[in-house]
Parts: sequence; C-alpha cells; structure tokens
Amino acid sequence: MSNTCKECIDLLLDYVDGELPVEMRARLEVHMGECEPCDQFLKTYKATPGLCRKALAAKMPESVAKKLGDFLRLEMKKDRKA
Amino acid sequence: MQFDSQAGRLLTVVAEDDSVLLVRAQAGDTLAFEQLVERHRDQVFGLAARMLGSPDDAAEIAQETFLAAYRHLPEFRGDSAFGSWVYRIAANYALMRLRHRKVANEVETPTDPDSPQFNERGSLLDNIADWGRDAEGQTLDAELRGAIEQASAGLPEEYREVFVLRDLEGLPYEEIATLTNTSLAAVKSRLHRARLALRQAIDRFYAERES
Repeated sequence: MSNTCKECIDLLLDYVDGELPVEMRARLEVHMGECEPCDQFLKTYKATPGLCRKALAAKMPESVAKKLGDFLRLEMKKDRKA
Repeated sequence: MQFDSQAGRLLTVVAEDDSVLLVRAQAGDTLAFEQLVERHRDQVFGLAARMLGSPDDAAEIAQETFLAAYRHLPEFRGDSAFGSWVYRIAANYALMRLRHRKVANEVETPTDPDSPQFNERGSLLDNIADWGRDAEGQTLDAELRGAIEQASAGLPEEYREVFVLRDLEGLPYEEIATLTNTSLAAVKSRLHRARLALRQAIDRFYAERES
C-alpha cells in the first residue's frame, strides 16, 4: 500500500538522515516518484537548513568585540588582584 | 599573510595553534587568552544571537561565556578542542537565558508553527514554489534574509533552540537532548516541525514574489 503525502512528510527527517528502515524508505520513494508536489516538498525541505544558515549567519560587530575585550581585560585584572 | 617590502615577497605568518595558546593562557598569559577569544568570538556570538534572537543578549552571553572559560581554564584538560568547549559553555548560557525568559513570561502560550496543509485523504494541498533545486548556490537578497529572520524569530523557543543547535551549529542529536534536557524523540520532532515552519515561510516568500 502506498503512503499518503502526510505520512511521507512526517517521515522526512528520518529519510533525510538516512535512518528509515529499508521497507519504509522504499515506500516513501515510490510515493515521491509518483507525486510531484511531494517531490518538490522534499527538495525544498532539504534546501531549508542551508538557506537558513546563510540568512542567519552572524558576525560579532566591531563595537561589541571591543566591549568584550575591555570587559575581559578588566575582569582578568580583578581576578589577578584577588 | 604579510608583505616583506625589502625582500619584495610575501611572508606566511603561521598562526599559533589553539592548543599552544591554551597552554600559554593556562600559565597566566592573558594576551594568549585574548587571542583565543578573538578566534572564537564570532562563533559564540552567532550561536547566542540565533538562539536568543537578540544581539544585545548575544553580546552578554559572549561576555559570560568567555569570563567563565577564563575562570575555568585551570580545570580544562583539553579532552576536546578549546573552541568546542567554549561553544558548549555558550550553548548552556543561551539555553539558561531562554529558560529564564520562559519563567519570567509565564503567560506565553506557544503557538503551533506553520505546517503544510493536507486534505482529508492526507494529500498535500499546498502549491510548492520551485526554489529547492539550486538553493545551495543562491545568493540571498535582503528580503529573503528578512523573511527567514522573521520566521526563525517566530518559532516557539523550544523549536528554535533545537533547530539552531542542529541545523545551524551541527551538534549531534544526543548532545542536543542532553543540553536541552529532553528526549531524543522530542529533539527530532521539534527539529522537524521547525524545518517545516521555516520551509513554509521560504515557500510563501517565493510564491508571493512570483505572483
């Protein structure tokens, strides 16, 4: 029996991680081969973490880096005196 | 890389390994510790900013993290890399702050994140925009970046923390379960739901752009 779209989408995390049992994986792949929306869904599901990594990349601003350096130097000095 | 103007050639400056700096820092060399901070501050700040959604909170977490690392230097035996050690300290501080926020904001009711729509027979109802094919090579424009930032900020915190730790920072599931004090099954379920919500937000962005 073939999976429904919902059943397939519920399994995507384990599928992408390669952790689905062989039989379940085969059934899911049969569904994906026959269902274009699900195939498209899988492609976009897989692409999501990479896009988010790019979008949410954060570098410490220079002003914050300076403040961090000043803070640590002060605290280290206090610790050495104590 | 530096340029030797007299000899007219490039000089390669070999940066000292973290482990060398660590030994010096453990012996009391604060300059060596500052170099370690400089190397790892972006990673710590990035983790905290993504988890907490606030640059100000992330800056405070960076201060707490590196101060704790400095004070615990004598106990650090080097079983893991310095960067990994500091990173886990930062993850713990960020998670503690999230917990504190939850306690302080007791009326918060987590909303169910966005997820795909199905008909009564379990068939997918959504029209999926065609953006998955070459996503890796895409350069993000400011609007898409903004849509993803907004969607990430809108995730329930327990979903966002798992998504950040796994998909953005690459920690193993088992470690995330330990850090978040939850089961492996819960970690996977939250991650899946976070991905669905973020995928949905990106899909909506492309659909609106195409229309």
